[in-house]
Amino acid sequence: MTDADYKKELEQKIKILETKIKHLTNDLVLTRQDYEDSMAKYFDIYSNMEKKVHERTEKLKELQNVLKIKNMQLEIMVDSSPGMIFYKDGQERYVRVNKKFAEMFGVSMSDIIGKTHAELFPGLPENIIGNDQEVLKNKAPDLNRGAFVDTVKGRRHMLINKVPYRDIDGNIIGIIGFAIDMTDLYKVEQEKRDLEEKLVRAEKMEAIGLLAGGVAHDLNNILTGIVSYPDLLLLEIPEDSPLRRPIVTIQESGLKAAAIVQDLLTLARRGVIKSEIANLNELINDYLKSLEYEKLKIYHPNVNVKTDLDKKLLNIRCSPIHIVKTIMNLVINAAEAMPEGGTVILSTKNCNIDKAFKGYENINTGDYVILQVHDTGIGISEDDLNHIFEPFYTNKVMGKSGTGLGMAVVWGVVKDHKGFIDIKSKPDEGTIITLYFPVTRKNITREISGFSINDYMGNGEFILVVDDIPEQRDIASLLLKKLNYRVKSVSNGEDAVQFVKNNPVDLIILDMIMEPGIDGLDAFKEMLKYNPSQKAVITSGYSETDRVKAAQKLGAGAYLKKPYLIEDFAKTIKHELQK
Amino acid sequence: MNFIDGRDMEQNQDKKEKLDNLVKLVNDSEISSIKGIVSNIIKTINDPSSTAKDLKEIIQIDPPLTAKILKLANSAYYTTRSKISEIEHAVIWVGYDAVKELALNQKVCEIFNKDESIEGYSRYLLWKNSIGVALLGKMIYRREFGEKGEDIYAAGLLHNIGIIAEDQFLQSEFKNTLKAAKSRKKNLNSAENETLGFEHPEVGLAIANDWKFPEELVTCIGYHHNPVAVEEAYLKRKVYTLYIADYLCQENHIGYCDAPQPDEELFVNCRKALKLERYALQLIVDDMKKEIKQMELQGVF
Repeated sequence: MTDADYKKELEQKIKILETKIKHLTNDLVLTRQDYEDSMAKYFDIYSNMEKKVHERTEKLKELQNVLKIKNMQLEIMVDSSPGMIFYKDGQERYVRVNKKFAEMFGVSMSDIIGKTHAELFPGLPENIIGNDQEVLKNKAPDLNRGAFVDTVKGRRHMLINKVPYRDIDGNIIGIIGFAIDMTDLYKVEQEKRDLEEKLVRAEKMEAIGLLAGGVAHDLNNILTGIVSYPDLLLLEIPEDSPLRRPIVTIQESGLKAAAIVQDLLTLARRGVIKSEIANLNELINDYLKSLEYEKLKIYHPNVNVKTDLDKKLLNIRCSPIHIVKTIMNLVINAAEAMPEGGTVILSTKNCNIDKAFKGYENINTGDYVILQVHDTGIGISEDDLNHIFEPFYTNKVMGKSGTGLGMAVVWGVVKDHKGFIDIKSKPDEGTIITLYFPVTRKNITREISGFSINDYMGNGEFILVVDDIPEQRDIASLLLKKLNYRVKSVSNGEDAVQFVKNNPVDLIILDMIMEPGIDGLDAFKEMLKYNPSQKAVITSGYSETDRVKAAQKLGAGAYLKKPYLIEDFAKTIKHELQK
Repeated sequence: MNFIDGRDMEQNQDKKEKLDNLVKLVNDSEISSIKGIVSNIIKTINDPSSTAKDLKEIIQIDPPLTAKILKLANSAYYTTRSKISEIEHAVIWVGYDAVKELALNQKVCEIFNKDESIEGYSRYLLWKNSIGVALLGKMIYRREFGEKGEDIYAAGLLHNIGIIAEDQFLQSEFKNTLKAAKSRKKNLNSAENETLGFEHPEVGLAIANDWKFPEELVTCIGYHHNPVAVEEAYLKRKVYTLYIADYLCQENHIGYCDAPQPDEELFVNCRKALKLERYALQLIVDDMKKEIKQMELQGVF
């Protein structure tokens, strides 16, 4: 290849490259132009769209406003309803609930939405509010169903209505439910019925009282002749006279009649009893030394009476005569329930009721001395249980022993002492009758006298008493002041936490079971956040529970059982403070 | 314009009648359905103030066309990011000019359907040739002249509309023409003159005139085998470019070839008149072939 050829070839290559550059440059310029045109057109289109979007947005806003107002009105209606209202979808998930619903279940609305009832309350038993299968399956309303539902206020009796929720095409897409809490209404109705019953009973008793009051005095005078003249007659006639037997019978009948009059008088004199401070243990011992008890042992030689008496038993304010009579009646009944013989156990102990409960009757909170009479006899049928306190109601052979007024006297006496009665009985297994007498704190000095209080006096330490029951706070405060402590008391866990947060406290006397609000354990946990070394004494009417133990694990000290006995109380607090 | 001077008047009269009849047949047929839209798109090409909205309005009155354009705009060829469902969006994404091209392609393509293959001719091959010429014409305009060349694109697509008219309305004569051209190794033009008495550029000219296409387009269609007959200076470049594009497509076997006996002298004259170097054109042809290949692969036609 010559130089000329080579040069030519190179020139050719350069030309091609130059052409390529030209082509690319031209293309680039045009492409840029295209791009700019497209951009211009894009903005043109875009601004048009903007305008359209703006117009539509305005219209939508107007509609939204109208909807918002309508919705608000509806919300207000739904949320101000005193009943619970809930909407659920086809999978039984909550779509909307009203305020009352959220309140009753103690869950925030946002936590409820999207969940089923079972998901919300996994531990609780299923109820009608949670299960919609019937409505969804039958595609028909389920109306006026009564059911018990667990809520933050406890188990409530509700009236529930549920209707299927349909879309505009009529397909069922969920349910709408309404539930009304009937508990209070039913309770009021029940109370009314109870009161009516009580009234009838009281009227009956009053009538008997009036009658007895009216006739007893005269009858007693008349009976004096029948009871005392046979004695004179028996002195006059010979030992072997055939008249002796009938005369003794006359005398015994007279005595029996006199006993009935006595019981009638006891009932009639209710309300005018003279009360004094006494100890139930002493009264039991009085009875066991009495003639009546000796007689009982003669009638029932196979019956053994045992006692189990609490040595630290607190005092009660009572009419001793009536209490002894009550003990006697109960022991007689117990003995008669065991014709084959057996053991009657009389026991006493201190007791604190922290939460009202329903036994034979409703038993209120408070400190009590309890008397228990336990037999292993024939028991009382459920039917009889409802009537045993009515005068002259008996399943025993009438006239055999009692007057027909024994249990009526028991009832009257307990009621006069503002006490309560509980009975547990099983036919052929026996009966336990428990009497609750309120503790009196009137004579604390007598309580203290047993030990040397000076060893346990405080030094003005500051003690916080937390208890939901006012009487308990009062007693604790009273005892603490006597023991030379400074005291502050609050009625719930939340207030206690708040107080501890702002004030240093040497010791907290903390009730375990409090309602409503947080309990002792939760309150203690909160307090520890502010003062990890906070001293506390846990108290409860029940025996030590898991929660008490949990609190003790967290650092709470001794466990103080209610009702408070001043000796234990003083020792425990002193000991705790010295730790 | 004086195309048929120097010929026998009687013969001219006869030919004019024949052409008029053919145009009438075309106007009564489905082919005329493309008239409105194609003219409108060409109008936007010639009107710099036209907007995307105008283009949208032209396209949206033809639902099948709208559907086809959206389908193409969504094809892998344009690699859209999100689904394009409106012509306006297609304009933004694919580009204003590209949408015009697509619309034109689709519309003109309609008249090339119902394919059958005779003597090396088929409507598909003719269509491929049209696309090739249109594309090459446009590329020459862009790269060599630095102009958009949208009208040359339209001219390339439509330059053989005369053949379509003959194919559809003078079927037996057209078959004979194809046979004659094949057996005697002639260009289609001379065979047409013998069997029909006129050439397809004349048919195209008559149709384009009747459809009131713009003057440049009419001239391009009518003179694509005889560009030097065009006297108006401002039209020369377009007609020459179209000829060059057509010549190069035939040379490179892009689609149907109506002139197996190329007139190299005419080609060189046109080329020189436009100052286009052979190697420069070859560079463009190479790129055009790549483009056609890609379009085939993507199923654009």
